[in-house]
Amino acid sequence: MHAVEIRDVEKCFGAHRVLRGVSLSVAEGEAFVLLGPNGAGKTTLIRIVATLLRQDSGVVRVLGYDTRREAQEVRRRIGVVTHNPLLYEELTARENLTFYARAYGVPLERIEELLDRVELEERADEPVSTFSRGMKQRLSIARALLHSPEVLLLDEPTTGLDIKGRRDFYALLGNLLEEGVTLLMTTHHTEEAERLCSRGAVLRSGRVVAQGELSELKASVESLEDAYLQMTGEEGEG
Amino acid sequence: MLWIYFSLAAAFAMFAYGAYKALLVFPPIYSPENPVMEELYRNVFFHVPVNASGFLGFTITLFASILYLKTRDMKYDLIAAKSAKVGVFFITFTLLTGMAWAKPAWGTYWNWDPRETTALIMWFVYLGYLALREAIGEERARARASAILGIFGYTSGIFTLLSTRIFPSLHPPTFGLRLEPEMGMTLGLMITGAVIVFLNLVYLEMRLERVKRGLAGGR
Amino acid sequence: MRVSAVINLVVKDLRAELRTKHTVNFMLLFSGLAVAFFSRIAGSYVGSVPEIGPGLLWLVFLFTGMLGLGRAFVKEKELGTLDGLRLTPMSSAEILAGKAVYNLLLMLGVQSIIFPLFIVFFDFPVRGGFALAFAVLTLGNTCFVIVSSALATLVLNARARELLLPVILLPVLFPVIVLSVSALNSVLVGGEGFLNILGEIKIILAYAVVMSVIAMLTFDFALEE
Repeated sequence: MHAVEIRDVEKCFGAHRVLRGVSLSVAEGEAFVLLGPNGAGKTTLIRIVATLLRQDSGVVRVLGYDTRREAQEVRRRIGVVTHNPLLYEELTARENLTFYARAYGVPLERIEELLDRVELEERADEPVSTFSRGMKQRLSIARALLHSPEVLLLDEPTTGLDIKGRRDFYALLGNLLEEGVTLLMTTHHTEEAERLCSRGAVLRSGRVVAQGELSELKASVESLEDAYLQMTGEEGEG
Repeated sequence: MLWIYFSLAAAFAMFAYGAYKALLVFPPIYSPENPVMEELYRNVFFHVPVNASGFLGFTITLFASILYLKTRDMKYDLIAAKSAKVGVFFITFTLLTGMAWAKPAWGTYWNWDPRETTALIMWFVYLGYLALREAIGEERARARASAILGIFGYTSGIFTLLSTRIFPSLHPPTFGLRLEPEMGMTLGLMITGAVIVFLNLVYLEMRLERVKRGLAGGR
Repeated sequence: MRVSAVINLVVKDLRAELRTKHTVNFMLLFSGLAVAFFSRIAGSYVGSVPEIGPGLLWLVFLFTGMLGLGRAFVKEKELGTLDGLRLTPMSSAEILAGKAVYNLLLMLGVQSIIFPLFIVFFDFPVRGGFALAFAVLTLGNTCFVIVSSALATLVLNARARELLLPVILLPVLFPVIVLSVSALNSVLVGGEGFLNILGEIKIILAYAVVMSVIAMLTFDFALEE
């Protein structure tokens, strides 16, 4: 069974066709990256997999559950990290996690475990509004991991992080991958994706233009970045 | 398109015949306590048909809204929207003929009679519905939000129907109006005519919208 | 519907609100201002105060509520945390119930400060039971928060949502407003007891039930994107 299976997914916003028949699948326990320029439909696709958005047609299954008909089952099994940390600024780190833990029906001991894991136990009782961008993003990971999801969806998770923050973040993702968590992520930073992910797909104007092993995707050219630029026809931006 | 001409012609014939009977043929109704009423009752033949059509419109909006949420078919969203729009147009005439009646019969144009009040509120509900549609750009979000309001809003319609039973009112209870058989027949004919005009207007509005979209999409 | 999930959401919202008090302070300030203004304006016609008082009081709640209650959802939408809520296994009914209860607590807070203030400012001659009047207000406000919490989600994707919400909310709420003003008048001005306003109370309750049912049935769709 695939961790994530996307088949012929179409999505329009008014007259604008954002996704035009996207199909791809992510195996359990692998790290899969979605590449593509801004506006290619990466975020829309992640939001559909996360049950936050309904596709107009096509089917999405997460661990065998249909995202439209069995949304609750999907939600129990996925964790979502976006550039918005989905935290309440007035509340402390611990209060935020307490709220989400209760919403997921997770025992509260799990909070300490996760605060420890993302190295925030010292600041746990301070309001999130005093946190740096990197700390918020780490707390956001803790939030997404509360209910021990089997699939983690990440949409541009490292936006706004400095080099150290980014490195810590990827170290954490690496650990999760070793624990058997499936990762589906979007990013602009191809070299980071290369380090972590084994397979990927390139989206352009709502279509998958290439899909497969990252090593294959870049076989014909010097680097993945070149392959990316060539396939998307984008100039200058990396 | 041909059946549109036929049905509209039939509707206008019904309306013209009804209007002729109502205004020129029927005798004045003897009313000792209020002599004005003797001729004024003829207003009923216009007030009731437009009102019935307007109500029908909001009822269609209710069912189309439910069907949209069940099927997600944009066709139902279009039906709901246009039916509400034409319904508001008809209820406007209900309010105007009502005021034309109220001034001579009850002394003022507007009395805050429960039926009058609830009809006005219902009119506002559906104007709000149209305003909500105007304010949401993304068509699926618009269809969803307005379908929900189309269901909530219908409670005001039910309240209007029940208002004459809940509160003491100057209006006769809904469906409780008693007329001479021939007058009843004429009223029935005019209601039928108004409903046919209503349905045609909704249909034409829908076609117009599709043509507009076709033009926009073809560019 | 799990009560624990509803309470969890209410506790979260109350905790966040009490830390900054942005909405509560604003609602109290606005309603205090409105009572003062109405008192000054209507007070010029002293003879009419008892008759129009309950209506004015309701207007104060209505405006205060319309400005404040929509925030419960709008804030989550603006900060993006609505996505976080939707990602949890909480059902839409639980989310709606949580927001409605939180809004009711806000309105009860405003009500318990503004109602006595109203009596003082208008020098209102209370003839009936104070407790009964408070209960009638609470019932009316319960209806108010159910409908406003449900309809507030409809304008989330709309332009000029602050302007739009009152326009769609007021007419739908109209029956409750008229009935509770009438019940409040009977109690405060007419000095009547519970049995005399039972008719109004029954209809308000029926309305609350109907609105809750519609809200619960449609709310799945309202939160979608």
